[in-house]
This record gives sequence, structure tokens and C-alpha cells, in this order.
Amino acid sequence: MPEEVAQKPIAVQFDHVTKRYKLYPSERRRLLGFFSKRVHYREIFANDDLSFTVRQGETVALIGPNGAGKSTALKMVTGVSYPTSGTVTVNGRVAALLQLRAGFDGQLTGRQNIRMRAQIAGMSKEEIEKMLPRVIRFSELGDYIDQPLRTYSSGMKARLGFAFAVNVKPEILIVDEALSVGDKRFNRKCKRRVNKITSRDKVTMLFVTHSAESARNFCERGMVIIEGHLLFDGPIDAALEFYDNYLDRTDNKTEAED
Amino acid sequence: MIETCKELFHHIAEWRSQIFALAKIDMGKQVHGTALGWIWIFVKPALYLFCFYFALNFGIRTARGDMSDIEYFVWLACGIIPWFFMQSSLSGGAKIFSTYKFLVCRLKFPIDVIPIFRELSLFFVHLLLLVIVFILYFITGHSLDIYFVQLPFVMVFMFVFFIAWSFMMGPLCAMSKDLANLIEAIMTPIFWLSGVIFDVNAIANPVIHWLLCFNPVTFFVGCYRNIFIGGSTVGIADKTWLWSDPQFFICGLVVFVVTVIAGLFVFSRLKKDIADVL
Repeated sequence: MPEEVAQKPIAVQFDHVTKRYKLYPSERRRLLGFFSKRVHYREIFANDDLSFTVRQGETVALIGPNGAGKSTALKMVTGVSYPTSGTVTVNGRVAALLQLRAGFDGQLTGRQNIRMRAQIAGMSKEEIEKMLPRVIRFSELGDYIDQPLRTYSSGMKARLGFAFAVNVKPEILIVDEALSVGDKRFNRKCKRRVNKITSRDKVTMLFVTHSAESARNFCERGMVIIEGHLLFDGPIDAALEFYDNYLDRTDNKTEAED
Repeated sequence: MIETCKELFHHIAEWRSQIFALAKIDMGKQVHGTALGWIWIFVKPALYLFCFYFALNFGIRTARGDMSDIEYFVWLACGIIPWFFMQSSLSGGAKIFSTYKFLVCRLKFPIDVIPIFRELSLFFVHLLLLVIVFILYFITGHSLDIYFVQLPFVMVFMFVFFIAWSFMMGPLCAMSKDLANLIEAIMTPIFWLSGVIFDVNAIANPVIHWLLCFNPVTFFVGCYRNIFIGGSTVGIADKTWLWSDPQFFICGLVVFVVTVIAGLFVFSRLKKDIADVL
């Protein structure tokens, strides 16, 4: 690890983090399972003994197949979910471009929603008033900003979510394939903005993607997560190569079995 | 559990401006998008009050004792107005994490604060409606007396009780849709069984009387009635202090304490799992 990075304070740290879900065959079994340990269930380890450290300013890509546990880990970084065992440490304000359409109240207008989210994020009244026009302009929603959110299309909600997240001055930015919202022009605007944010020294970025090109564009470091395990953690090119090799091996295996 | 309690107070202090802002937004939900606006807060309780008055007074004529028509109206109001608060708190408290799913699942938000601002919003509405009861009270020629000192205490107890209820039922109902459905289903029966419409003290059967004393709705309605009108339906009886009926008072206190402890216990055990099951 380069000297400067090793000195920087820790932004995100996972210490032997495990997240286990219990899957029951039916609702009735699930209810019974509360009372009796003998009800049979399948255990899923969404995250299995994950340990890593991300320091301030690093840009890390999380690479892996669907269902590998990347979103689960990010939920724990956002503070929405808790590990079954192990500790998650997060230092800094997190803005997540995850499931952009969520996190809003459908009955309130776009403007009211931004105010509410900003208040929840702990911004002061002055900060909110300064931020509002920027968010409205970036989202390009025009007059729709004063209509209730339930009237928005999914693309509009995503644009609002994105506009909010990039304007909230995050210290840790989490991006989950969210750079493909809106039309191509809006897309490019978003990419430019994310680049601008991450080029600032102090912003840490965690980026989930299936596109090797995006990963290489935005990130310096790559972590390969498969079935809940962290299999590789290193420079982005090496990580992508590792993942490719892994896919080749498993593809060959399943083809041989067929 | 103590941890959870300490954490709760810490969150309340840290997030207090957000709590008031969210309570305001929550209050506004009922009236947002309507032309009549805040008048809607009064419409349903007023309709119910008149409805029950006519149905019970002229229709059924039960358990009314010797009160005059107008006194009976005030007596009813003392039960129905708090009932509206209690019903919203009971069923809303059970569904609370489902209602505010986006605060639980999508954002980093201290979820123990959600019941706080929800109850606050319901409580403000209740205060507004209480003004009506006061108006009725004064119009019928009564005046404030020392027993009203108990009212703020009762209101605080009610507020804390329903927050504890949300802490207890909220996580459980989030995990079990069966329980959530059950709570919805028993709301109407609870209304009819809890002495909002009839006088609990007039019930002769001691077993039923005892059972009803453990019913928090009965307890709070009884407190309100005692403070405004006095203990029974036989005229506006002499008012007494709440603790002068020990059976009533102690049962209510026991239920209160048990609920607070149960609420803290359930919440501290389940709070980390709520986001995963919603």
C-alpha cells in the first residue's frame, strides 16, 4: 500500500463480519421458529467472515456475481443493517446512490422530500436553503419538484435521489450501478459529477459494478466478493483479472458437468 | 435494556429538531392535498360523537344513569376524544415500522426515534381535540377545579404508555403479519368492550370488572372521565383523586409498568432485525 494511503484515517472497516439469514420454507414455520429451535431452516451466509479496511480517499470497486453479498455489505456500511457477528466501523457522512428511488415519502412533494432527507442528514436550515436550488437544478425536474412523489416516474425518482446524494457533501460515497439512470445525457452528467466528487482527496468511494470498464474508470482498488467471501483485495486491474479467471474456471466446471 | 433506554434518550436529544420536523410532516399528511385542510382533524371525532350520542341516547338508551342529555354528551366526549388518540396510537404503533419503512430500510436513521415523533404528532392532534372537550365543559356551566392538576400527569402517562406500546408491538408486528392483522382486527372490539361508551363502574359482575381494570384504554378513559366529570354516571358525582379507587389505580399502574418494561425488552432484542424483515 502506498505510504500516503497507509497514513490516512480509516473510513470503513469490516472486522470478521458475518451476516446470516435464516430461510424458512413457509410463513408458518417462520413464526414457529421464533419459539422453537427445532424448526428446520436453511442458513444463508450473505457475508462470511469479511474483513477489510478502506481508508479516506480510496476508490474501491466491489466486484462479484449477483447475490454475492455486495449489497448486504453496503447496507451495513450505510448503517441500515447490522452484522450477525463482527464489527463494522464507519467514519464520515455516507451518501448512498443505492436504490435511488427508495428513501422518499410518496405523499410529499419532491421539494419537501429533499428538505426532509436533508434534515435527517443533519444539515442546518441555512445549508438546506443553499442546497435546495442546486438539487432542483441538477435533477432537471422543473415544475415537477412541487408535485407529490407518487406522481413521478421511476426515472424521475432516481434523478431526484441522485441529485440529492451528490449535493449532500458526502465523505463516503456508495454507488451501486446507479450511474445508469435517466437518459444518456443525464447519465454523462452524473458520471462527470461522481468523478468530480471522487477527485477530491477526502471522499472515499465504494462502487459496485458489473462493468469492468466502469470499475477501471473510477476505482484504484478492487475487492472480489463471491458467495459472501472476500477472495481478492488489491489493485483494480489485478482484481478484474482474478475475477475473469474465476469465471473461466467455474464456467468450465459447469460446462463439464452439463 | 438499560442500554436501549440510554440510547433512546441520547437519540431524542441529538435528533430533537428532526423529531419535531417529522412530527409536523406526519401531522400534515392527513390534510395535505385536501381543500378543507386542518378542519379534517375535527370532522371524524365530531361525527362519531354526534353519532354515538344519538344512537345511544335516543336509540339504545343504555347505562346512562340519571345524567341530563347535555351532561351525557360531555360524558361521552370525555371518552371518545381520548379514544381517538388511543386508537391511532394502538394500531399506528403496531404498524409503525411498516409505515415508515423507508426510514428503517433505506436511510441511516435511529429507529427508536420513529415512535417518538409519531406519538408527538398524534398527541398534538389530541391536544387540539381536547380544546373541544374543554369548550363543552365550560359551556355546560362547569369550571376548572383542583382535580385538573391530574390532567397533565395522565397525559404524560398516556404518551409514555403508547410509546412503550410501539416499542413492544412495532418490531413484533413487523416480523409477523399475523400479529399485525390481529391488532387491526381487535380495534373495534376493544372500543366496544372498554367502557368508552358505557360506564365501567356500573358493571355488577366482579370478574369482568377486574378484567376491565387491566385494560389500558379503560384506565385512561376512566382517568379522563374522573377528572372532568367525576366517578360515575349517577349525575356529575363528586370528583375524587385518581388514587382513591385503589383497584382501578393500581391495576392501571401495573399495566403501565409492565408495558414499559416489555416494550424496552422487546425492542432491545429485536431492533437490529427489523430492517432485515421489512
